[in-house]
Amino acid sequence: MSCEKFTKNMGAYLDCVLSGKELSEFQEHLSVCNTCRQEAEELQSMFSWLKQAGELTPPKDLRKSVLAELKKEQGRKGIRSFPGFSYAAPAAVVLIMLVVGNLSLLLPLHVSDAVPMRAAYQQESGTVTPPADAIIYTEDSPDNEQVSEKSELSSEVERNPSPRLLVLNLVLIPLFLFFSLRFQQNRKEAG
Amino acid sequence: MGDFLETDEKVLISLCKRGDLSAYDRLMQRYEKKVYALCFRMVGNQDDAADLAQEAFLKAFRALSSFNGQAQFSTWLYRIVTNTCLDEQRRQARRPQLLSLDKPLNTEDGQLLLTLPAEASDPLDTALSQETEAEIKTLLSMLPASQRIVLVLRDMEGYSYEEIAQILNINGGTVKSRLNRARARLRDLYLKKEELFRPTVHLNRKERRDRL
Ligand SMILES: [Zn+2]
Repeated sequence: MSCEKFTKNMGAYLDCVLSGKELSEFQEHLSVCNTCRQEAEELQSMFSWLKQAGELTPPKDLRKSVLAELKKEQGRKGIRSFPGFSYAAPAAVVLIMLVVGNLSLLLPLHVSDAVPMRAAYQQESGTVTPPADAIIYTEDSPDNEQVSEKSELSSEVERNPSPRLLVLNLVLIPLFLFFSLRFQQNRKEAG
Repeated sequence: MGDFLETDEKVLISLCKRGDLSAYDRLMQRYEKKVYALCFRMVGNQDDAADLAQEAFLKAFRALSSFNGQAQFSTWLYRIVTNTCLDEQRRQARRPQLLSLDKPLNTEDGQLLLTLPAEASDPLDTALSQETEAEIKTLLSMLPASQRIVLVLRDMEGYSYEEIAQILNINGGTVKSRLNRARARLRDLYLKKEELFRPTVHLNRKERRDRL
């Protein structure tokens, strides 16, 4: 006699979810098979042993401590819980960076334009009386005075930009890191 | 009545989503007993069970915005609870085993149990039921967590197969087979319990062989 197909249904039988033909076949098998009957009895006995487990009472302060923790979180969030704040903050940072970044780019752009001009002028001014071929270069500009004025300005600018850029970067990089970390924290707390 | 409770629960949930903590208090009040019982049956001691129940309730509140009402709230909550318990079991399994007096020790001779008097709690409890409680706790702890959770949900907390499938996010067939395995294993332990809980602790391999 094959018990296998019946032991598979043992759980369902004990849980009273077996019905119809399956149930009647199972009951029939139990009446003739000692092994399966014993197994059913053992399991029944185990169930009544499990049923003796007492009812459990949660600790009195369970809810209180959950609420205390949640209150703390809500307080910490404060302004951050304002809808859209988590998007507004990084957006503002990006905007500031764009503006400041463009400003800082304007100056080096000016310098790089001016460099060849100045180099050309220096070649010129190396000699007290410019040779005839120098005129080819200055021909483009209305007069020589203007060229010299421009080059003075550009050489002044060139001395400044690297410390200025350095300061900007020193401010911007920590600012960026700070805000992106804050942003990530926000996300984590929200998730 | 059931309809009223369900509507009432929906109201509470939408209040909670807006951050209303007193609504969450009422929601927790409905479920704390079941949540705590589930945690206790999984870990077997009051302190850890309270910690797990608290963690699960915190997680549930933070995740409420993702609860869309498609599932029953209770099912959704119990899923968070069982996941919290199973995560904890996994974490403990990874940690180096500390010697614990009320857990079975694996020795090369097989399993060794140290039984201690059950913790004194309610003076009304009879000595007998305390003993049974301790036995249940110990034998449950000898099942693998994935089997224990199914057996606890079905045979101790009384959830249906379908509910268990939803809570654990597994299919009905898996529930059935896991439950069968868990019951068979617990039955074996249960039949041997007199032997397991005998006060003298352990026999070495030779003595055991001689006895058999
Ligand atoms: Zn049989």
